[in-house]
Amino acid sequence: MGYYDIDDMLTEGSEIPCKFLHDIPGLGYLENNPGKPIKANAKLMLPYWLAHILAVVDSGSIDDNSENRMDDERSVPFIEMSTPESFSQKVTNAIKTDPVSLDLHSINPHFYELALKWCGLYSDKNLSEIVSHLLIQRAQEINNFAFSTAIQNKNINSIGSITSSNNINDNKNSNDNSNSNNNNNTHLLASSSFLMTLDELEKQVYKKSHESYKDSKRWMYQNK
Amino acid sequence: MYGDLANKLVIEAKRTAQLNNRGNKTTLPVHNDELVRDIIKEVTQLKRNIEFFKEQEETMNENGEYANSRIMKCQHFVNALCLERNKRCLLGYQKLRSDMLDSLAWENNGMDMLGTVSSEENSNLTHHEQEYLKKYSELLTDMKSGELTDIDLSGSLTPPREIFIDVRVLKDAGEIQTEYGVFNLIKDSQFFVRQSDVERLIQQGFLQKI
Amino acid sequence: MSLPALLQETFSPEEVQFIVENQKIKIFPRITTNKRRNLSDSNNEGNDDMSRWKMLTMDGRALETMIVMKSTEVTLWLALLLKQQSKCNIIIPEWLTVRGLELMLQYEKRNVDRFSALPWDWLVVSEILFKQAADDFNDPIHELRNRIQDLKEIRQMKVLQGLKYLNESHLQLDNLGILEINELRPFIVTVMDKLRLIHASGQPDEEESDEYGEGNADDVGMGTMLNSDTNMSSSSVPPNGTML
Repeated sequence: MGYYDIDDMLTEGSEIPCKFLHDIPGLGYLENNPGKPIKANAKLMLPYWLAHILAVVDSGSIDDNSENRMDDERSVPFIEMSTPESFSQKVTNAIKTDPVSLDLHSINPHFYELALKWCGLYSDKNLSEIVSHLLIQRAQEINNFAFSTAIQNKNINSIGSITSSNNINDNKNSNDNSNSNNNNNTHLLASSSFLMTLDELEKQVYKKSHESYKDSKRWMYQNK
Repeated sequence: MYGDLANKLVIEAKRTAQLNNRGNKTTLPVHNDELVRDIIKEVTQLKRNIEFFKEQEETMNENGEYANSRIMKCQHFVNALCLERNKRCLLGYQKLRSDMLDSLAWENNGMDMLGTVSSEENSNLTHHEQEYLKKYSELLTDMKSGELTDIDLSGSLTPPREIFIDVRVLKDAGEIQTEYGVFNLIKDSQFFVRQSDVERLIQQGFLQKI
Repeated sequence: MSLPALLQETFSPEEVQFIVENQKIKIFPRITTNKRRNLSDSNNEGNDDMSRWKMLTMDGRALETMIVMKSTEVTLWLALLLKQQSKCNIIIPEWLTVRGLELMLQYEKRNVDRFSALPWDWLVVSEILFKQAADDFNDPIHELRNRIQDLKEIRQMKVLQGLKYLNESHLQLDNLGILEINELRPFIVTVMDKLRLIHASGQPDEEESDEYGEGNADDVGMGTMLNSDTNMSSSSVPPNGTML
């Protein structure tokens, strides 16, 4: 991670559903209503970098004078974050039933990183166990793919064309011009469609393992 | 909404990083001046907002109005957070580009840096980035010619296999003086030479290992 | 960076080969460099001068005491060099025979959850010898190559199975060769690191000491050994302490 890490910045841009706990003047532009205040209990999608600070920072009770803050036991943050859709009950059930064929990219391209931050914030042991289990299962599948594509086609270029933007549809067309062999084609299609369901972290893992397998294969089969 | 432009910049940075991961040679796309300038404009506006809020708070504190002070602070807070976010995205973009410039300097340092700096390809870099590249390469050359002349730090990273190798000449290069004699490099001629001598020439692209 | 991204994660196979070439191997030299025999027969000096070779190296102990057809141990790269100049015959190690490999194959097939005790550099050494010392083999090379391929595939399958026990703190796969470990390193290190982070984030500020014993209760020869954020090492580290 790190301050300068691009993936970290993209993860923090993911939006979380939030509920405001007070009336706050002047922040209407968050709801596309510039100039108007936000009412209490208004629900909005806010980016993580904004939401997680506002949810933690204490705003004090509404009718509170700052001298009496010490006596106030309850700390009321500005907003309340609710579980984002990526970690909803529906998704966790889907994970439990079939981790491998789950389309993680469409749920959230930065699933694992967001899960890390969320668990860190709320110490949600349950979620972290589910996510670890998910990672282990998918990692094996990724390893299988990385290994077998290295054997089948040493010049695999189509993998590199998968970008992190949301244009998933473009990649479906690029599969066809990769290879002449029919077997290779169908295998590449299958692996490419699997690869499109991977989230960012898994793509990195795939790339690294694929590179290393490819390198050893190349060394094995090269002539002196 | 504040922070949207910054998001666009980060997505572009990510795309640049991925483009680079595919190929071997580091290529830097055009520096997105327009987007950066827009973000900086947004940042100046946010800064003005923050200063306004600060003044407001100070006047309120002086007048003894503590009511809702925390709620008022929320606006201030949100603006400050947007500011930080913009700053972070700008810095991340810049750092990515400078890291790529670093690897460019390391790759090129076996060869001539002067040629590449002034060519049109480098119009993708801003003036500051070109300066940075030049100074960094100078730093590298200084380091290598300082105490570490014995090790060629930018040399080939694959370990040597044999002492003598067969090479074919790719370009005409005249006469090359080595420890063990003089070689006349004419295109397509072959030589059986010691690897340590010709490694430099291979890196520069004059010879090809067979 | 000065080191490209791939090399930051793991060694390149060429580097692995370089490391392996520093191991010892037995050879039959075809020349004599032993100086001591020279002292007693001064009459034969004239004839012997033609067949007496001198080797100039930094550590000339092994080289200067070579006697024709008496087996000596030298480093692999030196042996390969001598072989190129037709000055020696390489003795093939015992495990690299049809019989030896058959034994290993049977062990692999019998024990589905263990790896046979092949030397740590088996893949690299066999490749090098096939390419450069083909005439020193007693058995036909294509048979040996087939067996090596089979061994490789069986072990690969077992590795894939073993990865099911991947968790955030430890993974042990005994008797893997260095090239096999090298291939797996980036994958395993990245995944284990992430698992560790996920696991740590799920814990509130309590101690985590009870987690380390629980990981793999049912290990069948694929037990637990190493630290999740250092390099992988097999349990059979070579005697001269080469870093894996």
